Amino acid sequence: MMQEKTDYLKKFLKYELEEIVGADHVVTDQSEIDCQSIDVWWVTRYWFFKGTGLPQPFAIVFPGNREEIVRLVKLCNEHKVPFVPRGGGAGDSGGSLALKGGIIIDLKRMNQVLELNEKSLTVRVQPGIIQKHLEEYLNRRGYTMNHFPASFTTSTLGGFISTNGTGVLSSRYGKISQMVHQLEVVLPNGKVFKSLPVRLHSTGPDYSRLFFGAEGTLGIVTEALCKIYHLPEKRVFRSFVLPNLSEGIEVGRKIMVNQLMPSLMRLYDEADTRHILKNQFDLNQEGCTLLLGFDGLERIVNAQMEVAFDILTEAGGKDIGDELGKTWWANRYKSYYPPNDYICEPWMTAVPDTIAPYEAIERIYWAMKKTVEEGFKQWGARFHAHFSHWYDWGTSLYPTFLIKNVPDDREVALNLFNGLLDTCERASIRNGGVINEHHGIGMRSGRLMREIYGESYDLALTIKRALDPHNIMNPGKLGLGD
Amino acid sequence: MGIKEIKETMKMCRFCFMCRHACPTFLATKLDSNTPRGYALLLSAVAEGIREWNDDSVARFYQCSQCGLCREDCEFHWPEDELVRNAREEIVAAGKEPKTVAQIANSIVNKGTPYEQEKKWNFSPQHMGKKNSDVLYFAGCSTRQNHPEIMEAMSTILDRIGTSWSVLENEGCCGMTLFDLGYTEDAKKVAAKLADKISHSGAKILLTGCAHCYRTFREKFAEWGVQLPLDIKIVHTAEYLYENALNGKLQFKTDVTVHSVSYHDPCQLGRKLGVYDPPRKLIEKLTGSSPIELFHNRNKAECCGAGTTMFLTDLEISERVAKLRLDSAREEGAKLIITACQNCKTVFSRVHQNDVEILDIAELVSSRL
Repeated sequence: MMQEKTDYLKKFLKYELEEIVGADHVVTDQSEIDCQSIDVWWVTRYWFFKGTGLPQPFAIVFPGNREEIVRLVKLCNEHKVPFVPRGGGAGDSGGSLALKGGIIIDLKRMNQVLELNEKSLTVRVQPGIIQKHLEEYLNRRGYTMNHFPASFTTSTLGGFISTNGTGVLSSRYGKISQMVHQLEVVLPNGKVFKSLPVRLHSTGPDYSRLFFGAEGTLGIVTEALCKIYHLPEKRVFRSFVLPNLSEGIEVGRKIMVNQLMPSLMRLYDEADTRHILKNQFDLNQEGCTLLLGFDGLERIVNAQMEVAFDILTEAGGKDIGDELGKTWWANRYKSYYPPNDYICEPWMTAVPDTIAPYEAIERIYWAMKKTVEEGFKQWGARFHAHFSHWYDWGTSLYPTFLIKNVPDDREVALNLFNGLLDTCERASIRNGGVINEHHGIGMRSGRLMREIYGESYDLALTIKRALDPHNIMNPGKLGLGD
Repeated sequence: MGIKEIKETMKMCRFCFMCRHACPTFLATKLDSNTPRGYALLLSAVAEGIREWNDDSVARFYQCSQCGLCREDCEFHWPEDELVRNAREEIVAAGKEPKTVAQIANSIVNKGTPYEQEKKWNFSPQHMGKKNSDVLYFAGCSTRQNHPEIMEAMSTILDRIGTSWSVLENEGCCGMTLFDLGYTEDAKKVAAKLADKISHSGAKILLTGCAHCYRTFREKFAEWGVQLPLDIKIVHTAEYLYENALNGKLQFKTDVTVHSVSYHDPCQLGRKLGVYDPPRKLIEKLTGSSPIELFHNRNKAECCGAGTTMFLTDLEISERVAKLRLDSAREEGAKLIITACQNCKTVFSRVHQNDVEILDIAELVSSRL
C-alpha cells in the first residue's frame, strides 16, 4: 500500500479528486486537517498537543451525492489510497482518524431530508445531517425520532449508524440499528448495496446489519430510512433513591422483565449519585439514584408509572419526586458543555462502556471498579458509573475512569492509558460482559477484538478481505488489520 | 474582555463539539475549522507553539460572522465571538491580516468608511449639520453607501413626526468595524472623533437604524473610554418608531393588508442588546397581526450572513449563510421579511429570488404613513 505519496503524485490525486467533487469541495489546508484529526478520544487530544506527529490525511473531500462517492471509492482503489468516511468526527475511539493518511470522505454536505412518510411513519435521510437538525425538521411537523445521544447537537446520522449509537431513550426506542428500516451503502469496491425496504423479513439474512457499528470499514452510508414517532402526548419523570447498587439493578431488571417500557431509566452508582446530585442539583443524598421516565399516550403512561411505582416502593425505594427527572431532561446535554472537566482538563479519561445479561452486570461493575481503584491506586485513579440503557435481558454499564495527574513522559502516559483501558475492558470480558455498548471500537480497542470474539472474528476478517482486498477503507480500525 | 478570559475560553472550547449545529459559517462551509471548536483549537495550537499563523488559519478567523449564536447556544455562554475577535487582534498585531482586511481598515481610518468610493449624502441641506435639534439621525456607513431608500424613509418619518432633526455633515465611522476586524486602538480613535461631533451637535436624541452603530454607542463607547454627553438619549429606529406609534405622533394607513410578514432578528440588536419586542409590536400595529416567527428566533435567531464584517470580507460565505436563513423563512411561509439592520437587508437582497421581499422596518413604517 502506498502510504506516503510524493508531492507530485499528491497533486495528481488532488486534481482527480477535484474532477469528481469540484475544486471547492477538496480541502488540503492544515487548519482543516488539524481540526479533523482530533476527536474526543483522550489520545488524539493528548497526542496533538504533545506535538507528536498525529497521523493526518492529505486531503478532505466533501462529496455531494452517492455517484460522487462511488467515483471517489473507485479512484482510491485505483491508486490504493486509504480513505476514511467521516460524519461529525466527535467519537471517543479514534474511529475517524486517518491512521494511514490518505483522504477523509466527509459526508456533511449530504444532509438533506429526502422523504417524509406520514402513513408508515418513516423519514428518508442523507447521512450527513446533524441529528439535532433532523429532529427539528421532525418536530416542526409533529414528529420525533426519539434518538437523543450525548452528541445529538453535533454528530450525524451516518456517524450514529456507523457506531451503532444509542440515545438516552434507548430502553424504549432502542439503538439506532432498531430505528433504521433501510440502508444504502457504497461498498469498498465502489458497488452500491441497498437493503430491502422493510425492517423485518425472511428474504435471506438482513445484510444491512453488517454496516451498523462497522465504523466505516465496510461501506459508506449514503441514505437511511428511519422510523419516526408522533410527539408524545405526555412525558413524565420520577426519581427514587435505592439503598444500594444491588437493589437498584434488581429493581431495573424487574421493571424491564415485567414488560414495562420506560423511555428513560438511569441508575447511578453511589459515587455518581453523590457527584451528580451535589454538583448539578445541590442535593446531598446517599445510596443510588434511579431516574425513571415514561412517554406516549397519557393513559398508558399513567398505568406504567403506577406499576413501576409499586415495584420501586416494594424494593425500598425512596420517592424523591419528579423535579430531578424533569430537570435532568431539560438539561440533559448540559454536562457535555464546558467546563466539562473530563474534556477541558488534560486529565486522562475514558468510558469503557459495556453491556451484559443481568446475571453478570453487577459482577462486572465491581470487577472494573476494583481494577481501576486498586490496580491504579498509585496514579490516584477514580471510577464512577451509571446504568442507562436497559433491556428485558440485560443492561449497559457506563463507567468512567479518571487520572488527574497525567505523567509528563509521553510514552509512560500512553502506556498507562492503554493499560488502564485494557484492564477495565478485560474485567468486563472475563466476567461475561461485552465491550462496548455504543461508543465504538475504533482504534482505541481494536486490539481486543480477537480476544472478545475468538475464532469467530475470522468471519469479520473474511468479509473485510472480500469487500476491501486492498484494506483501504478506514484501515487500522476494529482490529481488522493494518 | 481580558486575555485571562480569552485563554480560559480557548481551553474550554477547543475540544467541545456541542455548539457546531448553530454556527452559521460552519453550516455554509461544512468545515470543522469554521466552528467555535475549530477557532479555539487553531488559536490554542498557535498559542502553544505547535502551529504558526498562515494564510489559511488567518482566513478562517475572518470567516466567523461573530453573530454570537454559539455563545447563546452554549449552556455556559463561553464568549467564542470574543475569542475570535481577540485572535484577530493578535493577527493584526503580527501584521498577518488578509489584504482585504487591511484595505478596509485603512479606508475607515482615512475616509471614515469601509467603502472605496463613498456615495454622496442626499439629505436636504436644512438638516445637514444643524445644531441643537431634538434628534440627530445617524445613518452609519453601510446605510449611507447601500441604502438611500432607508434614509429617505427616515427623512419622511421624521418630518411626519414633526420633530426637529439633523444629520452630521460628515458622519465618519463609529469604530465597530475596526474593532471587529482586530484594530482596537484605531477603533477607539475614530470613535473619539465621532463622539466629539455628536457632542457638538447639541442633539437630545441620538437615533440610528444601524444595529452595529447602536451597540457601539450603547456599549462600546463606555468600554473604550469614549464619552458622549451624559444627557443624550441613544435610541434605535425600531424603538423610536414604536414609541411614536404608541404616542400617536405616527398614524398609519389601515386600508392596506399585508400577509405572511416575518421579522428577522439582527444579531446585534437582538442577541447582543436584547431588543426583541419593539419591532414585533410595531409590525403588529402596521399589519394587524404578529409577524410569523421563524423557527429560530429572538436569542436563537441565525445570522443573516452579514455578520459583523463578513459581508465585507467574505462575500461568498456571507451569501451562503444568507441563503440558509432565507430558506428557513420560506419554510415558515414568509413573503415579506422585515429587519432592523441595513446589513441584513444588504445580504438578503443579494440572494433572494423575488419570491420574498426584504424591507427595513423604517421602510415599512414609511410606506404606511
